[in-house]
Amino acid sequence: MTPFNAEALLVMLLTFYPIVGPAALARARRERPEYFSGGTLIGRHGDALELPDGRIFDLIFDVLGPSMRWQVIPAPRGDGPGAPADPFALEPGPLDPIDLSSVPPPGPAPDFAGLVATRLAALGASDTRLDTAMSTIAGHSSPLPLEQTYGRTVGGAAGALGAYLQWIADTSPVDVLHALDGQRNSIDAELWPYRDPPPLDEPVEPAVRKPGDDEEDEDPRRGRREPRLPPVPPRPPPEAPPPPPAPEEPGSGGGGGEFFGS
Amino acid sequence: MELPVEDVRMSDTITPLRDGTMREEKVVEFYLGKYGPFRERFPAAEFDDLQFQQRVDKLRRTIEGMHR
Repeated sequence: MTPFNAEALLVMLLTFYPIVGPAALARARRERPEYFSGGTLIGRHGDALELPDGRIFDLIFDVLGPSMRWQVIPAPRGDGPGAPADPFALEPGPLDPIDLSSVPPPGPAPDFAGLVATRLAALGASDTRLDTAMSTIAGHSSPLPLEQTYGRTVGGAAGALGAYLQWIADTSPVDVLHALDGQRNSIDAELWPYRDPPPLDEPVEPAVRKPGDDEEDEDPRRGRREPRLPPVPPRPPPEAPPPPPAPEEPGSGGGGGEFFGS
Repeated sequence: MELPVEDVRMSDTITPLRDGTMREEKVVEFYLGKYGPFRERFPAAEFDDLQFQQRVDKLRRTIEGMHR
């Protein structure tokens, strides 16, 4: 459906229908329906156009009167007598409109210029404060207190160190050795039995390491290695007769000598 | 006032009549400057540029008369 254009409709009616009236309007509606966008002619004289979206346009001024002419004016909907019913009227809802008279009016908006002036007034003494701080810094910028503090704490270090070095230079190592010889006689060099009570806890025995255990140590770069198996004794050649069993000596325990004995 | 014919679109329509015949028409949609769109119907058998131009001139004079 073509959109409605009020100007085009009015120009068309003025151009092709010079005789104004409801009959001419009905004829125009029949001959050129595209200008009416699917609307229908309503009203007591058929002088109004109701569009499908509910809008109503009054197309004839002073219908059947002496000054009858074409027009396209939106007809406001109303509740008066003869007014068309609003097809899209809203139903009364649960909420009531807000009574604006009950809302207190907002206070006067703060004046921006006044805010700025107040802030500037608060900052007005900032120059004076800065000048005072600068004069305070200038008053304490004399190096005299610093030099006094330095001389009292660090300045005497050179003299104290010089006296110590002088004492070291004046001391003879021979005199030190003689003094130590005298102290040797004062040391009790006699052996005495150990009389301290034993500790309550048994000491942890240190792990005994064999020369071959170093190769089984875990190397973090190579990962954990598998423990090495004990060496297997070499088998005798098949041609040679098996060695005679060694006579078992009385008092010898264990069978280790059976395998490793020569 | 310059009212050039712009955005011309043409289409054919067939309307059945009560006597059982068909009426073939050509619908021309166009603008006259900023005014429009206008949609004029012409008999398909008699349609030519002269008829179209005559209607355009009538519409143009009406628009010019509205602004005097």
